[in-house]
Amino acid sequence: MKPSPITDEQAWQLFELLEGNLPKTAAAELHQAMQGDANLKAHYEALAQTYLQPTTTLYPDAPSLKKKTSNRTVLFYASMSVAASLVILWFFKASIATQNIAPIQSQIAKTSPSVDVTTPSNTESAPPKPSLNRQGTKQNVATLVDRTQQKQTWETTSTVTENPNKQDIHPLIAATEPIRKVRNINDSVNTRKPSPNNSAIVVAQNDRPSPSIAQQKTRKELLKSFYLDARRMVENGHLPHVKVKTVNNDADWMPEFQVGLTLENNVILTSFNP
Amino acid sequence: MTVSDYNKCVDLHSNAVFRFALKQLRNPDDAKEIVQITFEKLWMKRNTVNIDTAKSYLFTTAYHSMVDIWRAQKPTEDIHNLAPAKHPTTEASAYTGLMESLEKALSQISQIQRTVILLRDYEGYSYAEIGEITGLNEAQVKVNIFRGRQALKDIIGNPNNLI
Repeated sequence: MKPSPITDEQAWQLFELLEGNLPKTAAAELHQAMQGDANLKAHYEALAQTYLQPTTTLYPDAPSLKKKTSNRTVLFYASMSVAASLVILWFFKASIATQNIAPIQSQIAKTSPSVDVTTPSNTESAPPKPSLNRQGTKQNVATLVDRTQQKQTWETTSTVTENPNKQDIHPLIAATEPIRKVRNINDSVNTRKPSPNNSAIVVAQNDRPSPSIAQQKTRKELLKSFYLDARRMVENGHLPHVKVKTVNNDADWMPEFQVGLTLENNVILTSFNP
Repeated sequence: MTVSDYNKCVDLHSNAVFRFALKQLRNPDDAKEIVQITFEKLWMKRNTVNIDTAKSYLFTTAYHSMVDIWRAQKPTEDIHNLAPAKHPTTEASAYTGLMESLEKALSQISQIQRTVILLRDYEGYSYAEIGEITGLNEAQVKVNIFRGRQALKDIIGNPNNLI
């Protein structure tokens, strides 16, 4: 049996009741009214049947919507690091080759100090550097021998600490100053002189930097000296450390990045954003 | 929104968006296309949409995509005043269950009424949230829900309407 029509106001009140919009008192009154009005209750029950019950519907292609977060990022960084390293090494090597100093450079970098001393010098008449005389003590000489025998590296920090003007200059300049004092690799070779006693001492003293600090350098000169630093360190077997870092970490698999070149004395030589 | 957040959104909301589109369009292929379009837009907007507002964005985008389809089908009619769709039916005996009757009745009310009722019943959205998705104000949402339910009640109460 079809229920008789109700007014719009009653229909709206039933709707508000089912939607949960009526206050408790009004809802209780409406429920009481429905107890005495079968027609109103029939409309209420019919309206209640229009509420949908959530059903389970599965989207079959959900996996295809997902984006993969595989090792693309890691592989990308690794490949970029390798590529940047190769480019930088190629750059320095090419620069060295143009100056036709590759044989000397490889000899300095790869041979032992004793072998290095036996390298014939065409400038034996050149006066030896008086750095050993300045150093003076046996303890320092022994230290130099040990350092030379372990690895042919240039200890810049010890020299910088001896510099009385260290507080007045930028640490970056102070750290790289000793190396910049050697203007050319040929100069370094030419000043080497075989020692009758211990060749390693000579190698060390020839490579010892001067403690004096440059007075003023223009930006161009500073950049040039940095370049010379890098070139000379690569000549001597130091491998540059290339670090790739992201600029925006928004989980893109190909983010913007920067490449920085760092050598063993922690001097950042270049940084660029391709 | 990170990639993992996006994938989490796929897990959480893809079924709901698909159900929403399927109930509206009644065509699985069209519904799948709507879901793909919707999530593709979410991926493109992942830098501006966060995971908390992703669900609302997905349903809004899905609704607008469906509106585009409806407009393409009936370009001269106002989408909010479309006449209830009249689908051919088989026999009345096929709709013995209440759920089936309701499903059938749902296809006969207007699209905006169906949309607001689906969002209200299936997703539990408030009037304001439904208004954000459909572009209506709260009063319009409420009125459309009321009219839609009255229409459903009339259709269900009269079996001849289901034939």
